Amino acid sequence: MDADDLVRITRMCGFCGFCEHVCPTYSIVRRRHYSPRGRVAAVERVARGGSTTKAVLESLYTCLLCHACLYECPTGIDVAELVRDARALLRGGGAEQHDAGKAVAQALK
Amino acid sequence: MDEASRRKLLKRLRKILGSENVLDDEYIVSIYSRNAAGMSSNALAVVFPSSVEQVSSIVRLAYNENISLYPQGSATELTGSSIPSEGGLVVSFQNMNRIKETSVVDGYVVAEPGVILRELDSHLSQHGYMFPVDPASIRAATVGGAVNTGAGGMRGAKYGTMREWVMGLQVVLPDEEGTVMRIGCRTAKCRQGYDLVRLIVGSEGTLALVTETTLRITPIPENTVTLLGFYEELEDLVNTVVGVKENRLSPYIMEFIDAETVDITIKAGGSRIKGEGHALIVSLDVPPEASSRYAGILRSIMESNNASQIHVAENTDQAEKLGLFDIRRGFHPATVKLAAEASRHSKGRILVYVEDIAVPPSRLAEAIRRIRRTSDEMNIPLSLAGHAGDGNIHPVTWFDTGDPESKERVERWVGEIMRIAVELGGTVSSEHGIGSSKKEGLRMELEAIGGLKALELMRRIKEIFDPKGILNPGKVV
Ligand SMILES: Cc1cc2nc3c(=O)[nH]c(=O)nc-3n(C[C@H](O)[C@H](O)[C@H](O)COP(=O)(O)OP(=O)(O)OC[C@H]3O[C@@H](n4cnc5c(N)ncnc54)[C@H](O)[C@@H]3O)c2cc1C
Ligand code: SF4
Ligand code: SF4
Repeated sequence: MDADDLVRITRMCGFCGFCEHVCPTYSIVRRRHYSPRGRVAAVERVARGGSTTKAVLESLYTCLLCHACLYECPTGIDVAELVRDARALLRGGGAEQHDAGKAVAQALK
Repeated sequence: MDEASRRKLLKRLRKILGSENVLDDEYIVSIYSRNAAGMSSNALAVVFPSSVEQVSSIVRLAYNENISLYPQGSATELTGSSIPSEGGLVVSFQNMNRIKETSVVDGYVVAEPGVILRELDSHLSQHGYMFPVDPASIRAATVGGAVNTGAGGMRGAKYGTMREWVMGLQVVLPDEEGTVMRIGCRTAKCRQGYDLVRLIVGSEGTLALVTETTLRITPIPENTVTLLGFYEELEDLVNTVVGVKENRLSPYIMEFIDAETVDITIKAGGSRIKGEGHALIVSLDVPPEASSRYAGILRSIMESNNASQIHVAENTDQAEKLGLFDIRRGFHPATVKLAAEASRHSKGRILVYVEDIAVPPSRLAEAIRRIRRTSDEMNIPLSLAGHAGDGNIHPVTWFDTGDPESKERVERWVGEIMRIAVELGGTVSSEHGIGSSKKEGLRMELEAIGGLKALELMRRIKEIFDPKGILNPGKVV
């Protein structure tokens, strides 16, 4: 998916949070950027070319791509797919990947 | 606030809470400054206290520095009540998520505000008990959020709303000392002077920060009997509700979905049961030995009011297997899907908006008809369902945040829906609260019942609790 597609899909998120309770990372780190809806917002940021702060990268690179949240979402948003594509966009950006690696290392410390 | 003061404040907060519990990354702040109704704002930072002492320290600091505090659970509210403002701190209760004590004998559970309602219910089910308040958002909503919005749900027909289920609270007051106060009892009967517990319930985080709750619990019913019927005429549906009450039955669940919404839901593949017309679901909790008899009574009430295609489940499992609740549960996802399809051509975010009024159950048919008519006239897409047992109606629509005209139309529509509620002797908010978006509605309702003076009293109460106005300012009153 290109950036426009990503924006179109992320805009469908109603921020209801119904997806959070099944997310394995959120069950351990109770922070919204470790939850599916936080990740949808992170993807939107990347797709819109907004600032990719350390927390945005942490959010995207800690997703386990397990698709558990998909089955809870009333809109059928597949967060794992979005995250994968956002990571690809970031890789296209070059430098960010290096930062992303550091962010992940930091997050897992 | 200038940069130096901001840094200084964050440093002091980090000293109280540890740096991992004070986050000011702009992206993180943005996801804690947004709610499920598409409202958003900005804040200075998000703080995550882990204890009542830490909450009290945050309050003392905020009081001295004149910083506004915005308590927050999962931000699933729909009226703006959890949205911060620039320069304020979001106080998230996500770290305070322990279930501290369960007493089946004394009939209570002690839970911190960050516990998710679904987690609470699963925990209690191990004891054969439940927490009966079940908002549709049960998978996400927290105890603190539910207490502060005065939430309700499908089982409200029998169990009412949060108001009936909070026995005691520990709160931190937004005063100079960050006073920690306990109110309420661990006994079912409790006459502790003025009822401050119920003043805090539904106060939308404007009077105190809730740091611990003692909640009543109830056994999971041994068995339920559930019937689903379809009606051509709304009056027949409402007469069934009347019939249920006249036959001295006290339903566990009594839900309706209007005909057009039934159609949308079935077409979206959201229901195993197919049918046409307005749908009514009635559940009674009765012992297994009495199931057939009660199913028979309910069926005859439905039939005598011209229901067609009646589906019967004589036990709880069977109701789930047959999908008797599918239409009720599926109507919101179906509406979200419709809205998502509309979003292909949208300029901004598509937001699904859930309204929340109540009328006396005897006026349901009139209310539903007027809401449909008004929505058609205003060209507003509409799904309509609710709790027939208590007259709580949820008209649901959606709008494009990037299209000021569509947004403004929905705002006008909300005004009209609230007017209908008031004209029929109902209320503008039955479970979602007032927040920032229904303040005008609250005024309209109080004026209509001759209660405007109450607004003044409420403002004075707010001042007594919160002399500097630092706790969730701009909400409710
Ligand atoms: C799809 C959908 C369906 C819904 N269905 C229902 C329904 O059936 N019934 C119903 O009642 N509601 C419903 N809601 C609304 C909402 O989910 C409830 O009001 C819920 O109780 C809010 O919980 P929360 O944890 O998200 O609180 P938040 O949204 O975070 O906060 C709600 C209010 O509580 C305050 N607050 C939170 N925690 C504290 C605390 N510890 N101390 C002081 N103040 C605090 C906040 O400041 C705010 O004013 C629905 C929402 C959605 C999106
Ligand atoms: S796919 Fe990612 S966001 Fe979704 S549940 Fe799995 S870890 Fe969480
Ligand atoms: S369930 Fe879907 S719509 Fe709701 S917050 Fe999660 S991703 Fe967004």
